[in-house]
Amino acid sequence: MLDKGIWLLAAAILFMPVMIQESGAQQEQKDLTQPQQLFETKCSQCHSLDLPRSNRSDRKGWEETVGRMRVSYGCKLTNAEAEIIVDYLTREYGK
Amino acid sequence: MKTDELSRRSFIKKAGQLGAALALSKGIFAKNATAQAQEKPAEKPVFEGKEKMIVLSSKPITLEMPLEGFEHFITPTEFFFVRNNIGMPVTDIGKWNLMINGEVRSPLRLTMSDIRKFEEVETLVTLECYGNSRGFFEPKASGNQWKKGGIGTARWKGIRLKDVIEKANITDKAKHVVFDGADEPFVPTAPDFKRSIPIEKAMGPETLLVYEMNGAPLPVYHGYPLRVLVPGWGGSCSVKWLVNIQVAEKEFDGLYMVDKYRTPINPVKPGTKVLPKDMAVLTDLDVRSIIFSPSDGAKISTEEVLIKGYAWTGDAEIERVDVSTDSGKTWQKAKIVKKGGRYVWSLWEYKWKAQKQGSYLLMCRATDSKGRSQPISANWNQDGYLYNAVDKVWVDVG
Repeated sequence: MLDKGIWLLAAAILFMPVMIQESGAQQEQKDLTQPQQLFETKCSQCHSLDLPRSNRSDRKGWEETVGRMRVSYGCKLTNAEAEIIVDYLTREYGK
Repeated sequence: MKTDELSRRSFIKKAGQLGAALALSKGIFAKNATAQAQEKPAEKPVFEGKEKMIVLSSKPITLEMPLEGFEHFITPTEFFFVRNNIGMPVTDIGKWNLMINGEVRSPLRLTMSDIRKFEEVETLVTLECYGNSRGFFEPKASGNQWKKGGIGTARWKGIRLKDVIEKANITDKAKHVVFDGADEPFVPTAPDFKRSIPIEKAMGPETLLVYEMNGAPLPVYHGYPLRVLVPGWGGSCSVKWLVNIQVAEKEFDGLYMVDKYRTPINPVKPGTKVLPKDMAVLTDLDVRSIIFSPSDGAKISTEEVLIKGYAWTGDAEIERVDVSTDSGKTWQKAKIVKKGGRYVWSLWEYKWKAQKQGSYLLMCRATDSKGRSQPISANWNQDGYLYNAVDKVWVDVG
């Protein structure tokens, strides 16, 4: 019984940051139809946004980068979402 | 991999995640604890124990040493660079152990107490990220835009990897050694960080498993409780938070071998994209030197100044360093004031007095025992690895 209690506590602590994050996300009510919010939400799951923001690329380059994230790095995006993010990156961080 | 091994690994990794979550909630790593969870572009987080570092990325944590760190021949841990690829775990040493399996006749499971029974080795080693100075490539190469500080020298204590591998008694098929740490990706669909090195390098007497850094247990940033140390090769080979060593017949074929840490087999024009199949996995570092004082853009007087820098290389030794104070028209030999030897950087100096006011381009160029010297322009590659062009620093005299 004690073990189970410890594991329940551990599980609560383990997932606390996720719950806090989700709660925060709900409060902020991210509008994922907005390109910037979609980019920030999806891309920050795996890396800070300094990385893309410190790089500049043309559309083809951003297509390759986003494609690489989907194929090699397990980033789950629909085709439509990927296109919105590529449009956004090309516009804001193009060259 | 057997089911029980999978379960064990999964448990260790989950335990690590628990520790990381606890640490994060207590603010042990980032004073701005939201940094790992949610992006706040306006504010850079500060990482405890690494307050003076340049934050290149807060997730995964990537911290660059500022120029002042070069003032120390042995880099203080607070200045030692950090390059994580995925999430950083915290390990419960009571539950931690190291598995050695694959092409071995006697698989091993070692506790830290077992590790400590092998012959202990203590040595200085310089470690550099393969992507150090990526920020100097033109056109820009994608990735963290390191300047000069993706490098450091520490005093490491541990055991020889070959002693452990020999105890496991490798088979005739053993050609590569795959390292896996307790770190896990931020999303379950992302690949794990695992890397392999050839058995010859693994069996070299210089390749270690280390548990101490600069006289203290490895900090979690640097791989507590145990990491690999592959001297002369890029930092990514020195896998942190080590939990599994798999001896294998073939080079590991995960993402961090087949997609990352590769450079073109044949040189390419800057800006040329190359498919992974036309690239090879990185091995030892190339020869390189840098100037850390004076810094780029410094204003100095017409009095004599001391130009200072370091030189280092891969599986070789530094033979000489040359300095130019006139944009490369003439070169003079620098004085190596502290020779690090194999796998340790060498500190060099050059006394210079400008004859008149003006702007001067200072340059340095190292040559190693393999006869390699630094090029004027580094071999461009799309991921920006192994930058080693002649270092250039502008100073204003007057």
